[in-house]
Amino acid sequence: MQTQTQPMQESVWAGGRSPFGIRWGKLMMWVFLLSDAFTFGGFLVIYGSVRVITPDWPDPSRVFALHLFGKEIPLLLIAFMTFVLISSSGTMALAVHAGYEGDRSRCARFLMLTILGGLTFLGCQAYEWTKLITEGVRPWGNPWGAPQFGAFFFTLTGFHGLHVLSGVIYLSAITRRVLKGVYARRGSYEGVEIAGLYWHFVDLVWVFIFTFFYLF
Amino acid sequence: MAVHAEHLAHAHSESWIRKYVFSTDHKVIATQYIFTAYFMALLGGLLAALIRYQLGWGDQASPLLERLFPFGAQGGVIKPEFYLAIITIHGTILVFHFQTMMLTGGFGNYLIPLQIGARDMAFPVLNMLSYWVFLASCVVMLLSFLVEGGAAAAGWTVYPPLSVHAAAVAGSGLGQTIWLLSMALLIVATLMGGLNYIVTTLNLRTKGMSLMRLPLSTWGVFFASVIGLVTFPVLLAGAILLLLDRHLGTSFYMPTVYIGGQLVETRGGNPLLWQHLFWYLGHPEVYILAIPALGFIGDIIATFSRKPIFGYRLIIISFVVMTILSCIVWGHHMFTSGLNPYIAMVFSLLTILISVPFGTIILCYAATLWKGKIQFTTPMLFAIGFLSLVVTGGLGGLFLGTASTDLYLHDTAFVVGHFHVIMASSVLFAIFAATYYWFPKIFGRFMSESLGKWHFWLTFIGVYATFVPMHVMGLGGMMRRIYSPHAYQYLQQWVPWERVISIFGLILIGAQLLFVVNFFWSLFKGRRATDPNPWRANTLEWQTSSPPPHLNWGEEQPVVYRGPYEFSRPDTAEDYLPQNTPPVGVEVSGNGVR
Amino acid sequence: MSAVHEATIVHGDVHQEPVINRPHPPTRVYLVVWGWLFVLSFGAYLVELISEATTLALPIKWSLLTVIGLMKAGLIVAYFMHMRFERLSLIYAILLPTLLVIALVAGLMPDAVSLISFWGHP
Ligand code: HEM
Ligand SMILES: [Cu+2]
Repeated sequence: MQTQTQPMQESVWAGGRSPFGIRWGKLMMWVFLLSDAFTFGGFLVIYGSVRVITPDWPDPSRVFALHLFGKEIPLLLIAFMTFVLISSSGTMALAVHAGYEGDRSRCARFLMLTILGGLTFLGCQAYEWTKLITEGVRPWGNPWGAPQFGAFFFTLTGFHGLHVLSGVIYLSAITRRVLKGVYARRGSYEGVEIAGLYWHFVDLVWVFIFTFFYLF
Repeated sequence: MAVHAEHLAHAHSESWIRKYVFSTDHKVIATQYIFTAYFMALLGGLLAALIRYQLGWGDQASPLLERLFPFGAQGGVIKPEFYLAIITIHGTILVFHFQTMMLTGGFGNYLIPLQIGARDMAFPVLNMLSYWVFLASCVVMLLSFLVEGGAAAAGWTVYPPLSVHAAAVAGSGLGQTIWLLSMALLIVATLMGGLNYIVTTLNLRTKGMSLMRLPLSTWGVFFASVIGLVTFPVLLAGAILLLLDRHLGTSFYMPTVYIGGQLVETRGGNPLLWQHLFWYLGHPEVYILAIPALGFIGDIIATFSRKPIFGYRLIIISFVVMTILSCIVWGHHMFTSGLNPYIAMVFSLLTILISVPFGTIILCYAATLWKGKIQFTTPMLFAIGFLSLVVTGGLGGLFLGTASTDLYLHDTAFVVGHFHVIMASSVLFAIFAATYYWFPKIFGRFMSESLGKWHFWLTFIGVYATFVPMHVMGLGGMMRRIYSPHAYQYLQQWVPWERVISIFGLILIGAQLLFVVNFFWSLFKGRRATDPNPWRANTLEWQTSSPPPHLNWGEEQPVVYRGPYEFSRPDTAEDYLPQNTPPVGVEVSGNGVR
Repeated sequence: MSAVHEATIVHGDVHQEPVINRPHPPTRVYLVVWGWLFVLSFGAYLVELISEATTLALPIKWSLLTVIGLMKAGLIVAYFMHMRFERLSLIYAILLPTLLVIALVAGLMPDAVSLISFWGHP
């Protein structure tokens, strides 16, 4: 049989290697996060489209004010929650960094700090929900104005909170594996890096919820 | 790293359960998908028969119906609520549980690793989970017929307020909740599958399999997964809100309305919101079906025309353009909803624009057929039937995509006829073509050609005879989702039409029995496919045994040296050249790498 | 064959790139980014406080907040999620599809707004 053909292609898009220079696990996490971004994007856009046509939207900075030192401080709790979540993102980044350097115990320590941050955040959120519910906020109404306020509050923060909760569970599993030396034996802490992507994404979503739901 | 022979040999001395039920082998999972999806198709077809019976002879009582559905058809006549439940479940399971899952979960799952020369999906366990979640979705959906009030009855588009308020229609009770749960499961299953299809296609291609050497089937499933990935989540968000509206008393979608004379005090909801969210997935869904279908048809047409596909690159570019455009045209389903006229105009323009890539692909396929040495096998007949249906359906689409004409045609039988031609039938043809074509690979036996040809002709004629007259009825004012034309004075003129359509429709549904018989007969008694490459095709799946072994290849994964469609080259003795044929002068060493 | 064993076979000989010691920035970079995130969040909070005290026009407040939010998002994606250190192909593949959210906004907002002009506030 007589044939000719072009030589085997050598670009990164050719077979036999990853076009993105990353392995499948990490790529899959990125792709998953892209789709999850559309779930949250969907929620936020829906929220936006309702918000612009709803006249008597309660003022979030009043609703979420804390009474402290005899003064109403607007959004104090939310500001604290933001602080906690960003910090946990920071410790997560440092855990991934420790993983790159193959430092097992430092990696585990930062992971535990991250989990702690996540738990603190969840605690604050539980407090916030209780407070609002005792003040009379329900999915179908609230004392201050448009009933959609409560509906969106519970959906947005609830869905985000579920992500934080799954993140905490996910990170705990990863920490266990770090401590058991699974990644050290494998010579790759990619598992930590992938979990890190997820955690930062949860933080990223909070940035938008913080901006568009609480501050607007 | 080579896989040692002993490994492959003793690899699968595992228990029957591990091997066939909870298997992580993409071929087994794909087969499970194929069987489940065909089962759902069968049910959907039976529901279609009920619809056609009702529209044709709904004024006559039938003791048989009463025997079959003591609750749904008391007195032998289908009750209106039951009819609505039937069309809802018919539409839902055929679009989602049959066609979507068959193309991506079934054939996509089977073909991607084989066509790219991989040993399995990137994440086999996730692949298995995807199937089980899908199965749960099917079971849950079917159970809804048994609950109080019956299955969901708000149509497959589940528009509020019908779908929100339990008192709106019988099926809006538990049935609607179950519908939403089932859809949520299905969305999760598609996303889990899609992650694997995308990542596997990008990352696990074997040596030499550059993107521009991928077969069109793999490309098709890839783009469908991409579309699903960015649109299904939005529907998921919407569905969650709908569930909250139903059970937690929120009002995202419910304005203040009167239902059955009762004032329902829900404040400020916007039913149009749901329409946006539904069609944000609902329209791309058509392309989630059409693009893989086009991909499979491309492979089949090239093989049986013995010609390279015309304009391979052009087709891929068209896929990309379709992928993008399909996500931004959803508003054309809402022209009569009071949509802002400025965006209506944009949506209308974009919709018409999408016919450019679509038309390009069809022209490319026609050019591939041109002067080919066409072999009219059953899969090829179905492929040609597909092209015919797509062209017919596309013509109807021009009228619906134009806002001004759609105002007249919306919610008439014209729409039903149109989407049954362009989506239901054409994709059905692609699925049949794929089944006849890949059956020898999957099961190691051929399907019967003579039964297959009968099946094709009856289906082809049946589809045209059933769905083209619906266009005419629609132009004449026959509404869609009408329980019975007999009940309305102004629809009397359509009663004879409905009857004739029903006769053809029942013939069409009956003809599918031929397929069922053929399928199961061939499974056990069909001619054995001893040659792994009976159609003399080039793509990799044909270069391993039929059915392929666990982990697909022997000791070495194949190495690819050329594109997928090198047919009838003047300089070769055979008229085909498999992708893993090395060029002359290349020494193939023991490990298959030069 | 154990699952682990099978996994190594499935992922065969492709992609054997070293994972430890991939190019990564020094610790200092993370700390700086962390610091900036705090500063930006505090900035957003300040905007809120100022708009409480004075009567900052809503469009100005909203654009300020959006810009700050996007900057924070950019920092997180670029540094914490390492996007800056990935290949350009990955950056495009992940970031370009998110533009579709704009289409969703463009489809939903005019419709919502036209509802106001049509019915007044519902
Ligand atoms: C695989 C193929 C099919 C798919 C994907 C499909 C899909 C659909 C969908 C989405 C609907 C709309 C349901 C709704 O309004 O909520 C529908 C309705 C209907 N289908 Fe099918 N269908 C298929 C096959 C068939 C067949 C074979 C027949 C008849 C021979 C048929 C007859 C009908 C009829 C009569 C309606 C009701 C139309 C109306 O009154 O609005 N379908 N189908
Ligand atoms: Cu459409």
